Amino acid sequence: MLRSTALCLVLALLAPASPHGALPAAAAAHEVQFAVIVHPSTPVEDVTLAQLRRLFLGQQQFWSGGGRVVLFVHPAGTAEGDAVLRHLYQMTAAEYKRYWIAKTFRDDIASGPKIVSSNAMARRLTASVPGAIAVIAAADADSTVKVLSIDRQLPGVGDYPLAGRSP
Amino acid sequence: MIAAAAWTAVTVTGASAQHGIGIHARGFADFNYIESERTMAQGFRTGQIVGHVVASLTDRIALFSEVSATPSSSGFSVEAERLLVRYDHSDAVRFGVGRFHAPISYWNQAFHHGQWLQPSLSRPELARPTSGFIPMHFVGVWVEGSLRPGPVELQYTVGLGNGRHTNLRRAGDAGDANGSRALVASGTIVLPAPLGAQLGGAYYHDRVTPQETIDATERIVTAHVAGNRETPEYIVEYARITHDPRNFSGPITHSESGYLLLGYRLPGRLHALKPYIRLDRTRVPHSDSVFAPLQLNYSGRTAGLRFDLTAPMALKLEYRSERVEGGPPLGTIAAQLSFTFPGARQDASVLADHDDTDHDDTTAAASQRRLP
Repeated sequence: MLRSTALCLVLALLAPASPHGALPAAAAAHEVQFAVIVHPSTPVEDVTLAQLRRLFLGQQQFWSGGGRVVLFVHPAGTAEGDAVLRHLYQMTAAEYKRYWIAKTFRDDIASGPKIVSSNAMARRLTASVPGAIAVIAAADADSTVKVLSIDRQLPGVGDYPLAGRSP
Repeated sequence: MIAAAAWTAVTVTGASAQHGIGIHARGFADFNYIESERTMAQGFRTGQIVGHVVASLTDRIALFSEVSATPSSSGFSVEAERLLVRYDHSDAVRFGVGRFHAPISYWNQAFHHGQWLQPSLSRPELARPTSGFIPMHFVGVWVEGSLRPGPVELQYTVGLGNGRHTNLRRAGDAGDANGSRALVASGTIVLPAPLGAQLGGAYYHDRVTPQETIDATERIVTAHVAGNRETPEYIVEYARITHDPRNFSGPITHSESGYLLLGYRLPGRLHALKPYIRLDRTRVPHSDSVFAPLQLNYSGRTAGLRFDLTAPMALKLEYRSERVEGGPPLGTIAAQLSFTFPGARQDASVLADHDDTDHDDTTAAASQRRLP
């Protein structure tokens, strides 16, 4: 009896807690494909998933053409923000915050990602700011921005890696 | 200007819609309680207050500054820990000039003076600013960058500047102490997942003249291995300093210092807790005329617990058993509340306000507008 009670207590303590500290949990409802959009002048058509991660981690701060990378991200708790945390940063929201505090404090980079409040804002700013890159719902991308393929795959094709669930 | 900006928790973002040019500020502070068998001030202690201000002058030029205020019996002493201007030509080449933390120690480069940021309450002996074992600051010019020949990233720094002051704990802020410039070169290999670690090393060469009667060549070699993930966290760092007398008879001496830190964030409902341990050792031969007055021989065993109360605030509890200069082990218990002042979110709405593009989402942009 005592042993089983103790076992239950241990299991309860070790059980994943949410929401703080846990990876963003996929909510119910339908799957959403997310597109990586960049400014139309960006000299890139395709990126590997590894390169995309380096861009969003600030490990690559310049495009091959020489322009600086400008990051726009949705906040954690949004479908786009959670998809970026899960697939690109592979961090919890707390780890993500700590990562950028450390990176800017180390003078690795002058500033971290800019936060956007909607896909429309992300699209508009990406279309107007040279070097900009953002992740938005693929359905919200239009001709004002360039959509990158990831490992030669566009949203909705094959094993496209950036997918999530809309709340 | 820098000190005033450092104490504000407000992020002021400039008006450039192109590159987010502006000023960003963040602060760190801590409050402590210490009981120790060592001879030191005990009881409640205000910790170091640190302000970090970054001013992006253009999309490639930025001014970085870190100012600290450290309490002492006579008040607070303010120090410009870092003050540098950097031009980013590309990921591979960045030029800098100013005062910065010498790229010799992994701990100093990773955590600087951010108490909240570092895993343990106390700094390892190798990286303790008041020890003087390694030069903490470097005043001069340097070039640094990151190369990526494949999945592995190579980082480098090469610098030339003033070496240590005659006070070995200080840098040559007002000129070189002996007319001999210091050279520093460091390299790091960053390994991707699943290894997720970095291996690095540095070489430093200078001439030190702590007294008129002591003039020696100083060569420092360091190495480190550190994990890139927060859990498990591991850092191993080692430094070896050679002093070669120039104007006095004496042997060539080798001093060593190193530490091992292990930390692990507990899973599940205990994820706010992160226990850690650290082993430190510093050995300085008695024949080292440069280091002998500093009394640096040390060995320590540290165990502690970090409790992240909220995202920007951590409570750390620590016990240390330390031997100084071969004396008996002395215990210290310490508690610290450390926190960071997050500035206003780096909200893109300020950029949106300056965007002239016609759009159909003015409602969303206006409702999300933030005051600078």
